[in-house]
Amino acid sequence: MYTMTSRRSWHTLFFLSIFLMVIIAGCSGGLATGNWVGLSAYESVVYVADGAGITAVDIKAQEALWSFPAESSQIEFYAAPVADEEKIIIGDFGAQGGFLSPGRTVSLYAIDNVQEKAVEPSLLWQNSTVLMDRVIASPLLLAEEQLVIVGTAANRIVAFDANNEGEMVWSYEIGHSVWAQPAYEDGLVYIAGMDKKLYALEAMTGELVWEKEFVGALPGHPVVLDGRIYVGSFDENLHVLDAKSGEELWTAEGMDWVWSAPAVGNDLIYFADIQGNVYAVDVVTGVQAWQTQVSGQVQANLSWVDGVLYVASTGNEETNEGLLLALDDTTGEILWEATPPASIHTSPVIVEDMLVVALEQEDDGDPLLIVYDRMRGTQMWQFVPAE
Amino acid sequence: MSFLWNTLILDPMTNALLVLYSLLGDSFFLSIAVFTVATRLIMLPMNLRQQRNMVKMQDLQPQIREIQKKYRDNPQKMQEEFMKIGYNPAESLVGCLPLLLQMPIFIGLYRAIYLILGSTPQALFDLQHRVYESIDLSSLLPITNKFLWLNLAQPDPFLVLPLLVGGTMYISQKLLTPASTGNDEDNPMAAVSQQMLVMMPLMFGFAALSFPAGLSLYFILSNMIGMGQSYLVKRSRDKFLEEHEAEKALAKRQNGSEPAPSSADLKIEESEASDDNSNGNQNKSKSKRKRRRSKR
Repeated sequence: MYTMTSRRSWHTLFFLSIFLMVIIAGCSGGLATGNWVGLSAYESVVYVADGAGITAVDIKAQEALWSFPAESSQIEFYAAPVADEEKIIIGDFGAQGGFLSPGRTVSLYAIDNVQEKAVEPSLLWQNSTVLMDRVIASPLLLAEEQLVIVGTAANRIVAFDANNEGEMVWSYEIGHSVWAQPAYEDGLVYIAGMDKKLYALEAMTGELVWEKEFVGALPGHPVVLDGRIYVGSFDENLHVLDAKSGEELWTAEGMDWVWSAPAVGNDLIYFADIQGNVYAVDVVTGVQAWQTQVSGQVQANLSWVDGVLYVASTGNEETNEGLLLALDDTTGEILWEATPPASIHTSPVIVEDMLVVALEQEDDGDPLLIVYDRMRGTQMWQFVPAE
Repeated sequence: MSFLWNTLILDPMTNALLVLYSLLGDSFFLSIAVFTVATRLIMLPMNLRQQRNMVKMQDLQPQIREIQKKYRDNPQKMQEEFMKIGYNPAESLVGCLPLLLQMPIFIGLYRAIYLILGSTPQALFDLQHRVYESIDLSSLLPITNKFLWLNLAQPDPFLVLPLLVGGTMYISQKLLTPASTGNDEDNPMAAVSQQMLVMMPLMFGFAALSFPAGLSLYFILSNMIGMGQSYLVKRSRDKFLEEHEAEKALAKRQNGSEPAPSSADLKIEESEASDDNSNGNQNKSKSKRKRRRSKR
């Protein structure tokens, strides 16, 4: 009798322990509430938005220049900044308010484009009153018009005066959030919305020129070239539209979500689906030139420079190694490949003869920059911005 | 362990919410509401058992205190007496089980809401790995996060939901907590109940300031269902007590001035009688107790 009771108690204790451990695992497991590292470049300086702030790194000099904000804060930064000669525009993820003010305050900043080491950039202006939710995508800076156009998670597109204290010029409501940097050509700004619509707005007034609804959401950056606009969709297609009228010219089918932004070069448009299928189609007719497959999921934007198409993927899930490939743009043949130590989600940037990728390290989640020789694929340098 | 958590709790919960979302006209609020009702229905037998146990414990408190006083120095005997009146201290631990079982539900729901409504590329990338093949995620995207003035993935900026979480929880608990007699020093359980009645709604209301609105809605709906449940349990208990009192009054009229002892009273007296054979020095306290009871 005693043995049975004792055994039952042990069983209860055992199952209770398992139950509690599962609950603790539920409380402690990682869950995405932020975003991947943001990465952009201006001349030889790359800007890394790693959650905690922005770090400017001179790739040629192989040294970190400065961080913004200089003091650590609760505010998170994931959107890649955009820069011109004079200023850098940064949108943040904001920070949750205190217990009695749970609303999120999100800001857009303009800071001096300082390209010297340890010189803290000064704040030109900050607007914290207009953006109601996170800035996920990189803003668009129109240098001539001195206009900054930002898509937000608050289902709004907002234009700011880049000079005049960052005052709001116009705003436009859409059906859902914006995950991709807007595109610009001939006075029109193009915004891909997660509400399945592509919008063309007058850049200076925010007036709607046309909108086109698709079957799937539009997560990636639209590319505009020579009066045509190319955008990928979760409906598994690359859509090509007339940029002035919004009329659909043709579509190229993928086999899964087309998340990454396409790249254009050598009269071909290149796009990839999330299964790792990479396609090259004629930029005018949509006729397929070649197709290949890479391992892992392709979600980062494609890049094309000097006859080479660069593709980054999540790589091998078992080894947790990412994959970076250089493909011949006319045949799709692999020219070189590199396996960085973590999945690549952030779109690589090209700085002269270097290809820069940003990763989150598997062990501690800290960002890691790796610089490759883009001709040969050899690693030139690596840097941990958090240090 | 995180594999177990994901496989057993987070992924099924996330997929269930997505299926409900697609069935209920792309309304994530309705998805949470139906999910809440379903989980409460699944847990209904356990909750009812817990509430009945709680009420039973409250009713047995006077006898429990008497036994505790009387057999303070004889724990074994105290246990025997507890058994005789149908009180098992371990059952009060079992009574916590529904609360324990709710923990993975609200932790899971908290995480599922962030996962589904995360509205960042990284959150969606994480989500697509958890969605079962039979669900066409593309057709569900983007998940609508708006309900009235709320973004279901963010805390309520106007503090209405935290107040409702605290308020509904207070009412739900109040229905089952007996009114304070003003003399709770002798009754630690009643004192704890009174403290919990205030503390729990305050704690949850305070925590709800940072909950996503979707999770606060889960608590509000769950508390409202709990209110109905508490009302039913309370009503059946009051009915039982009325019948019991009527029985006692009838027996009193039939037998003269000495009221008929209740079944619980009988149990105590039987046990005391059996003590007489083994423990003669307790006669004094027994006679005192009998006098006290006849005064009542």
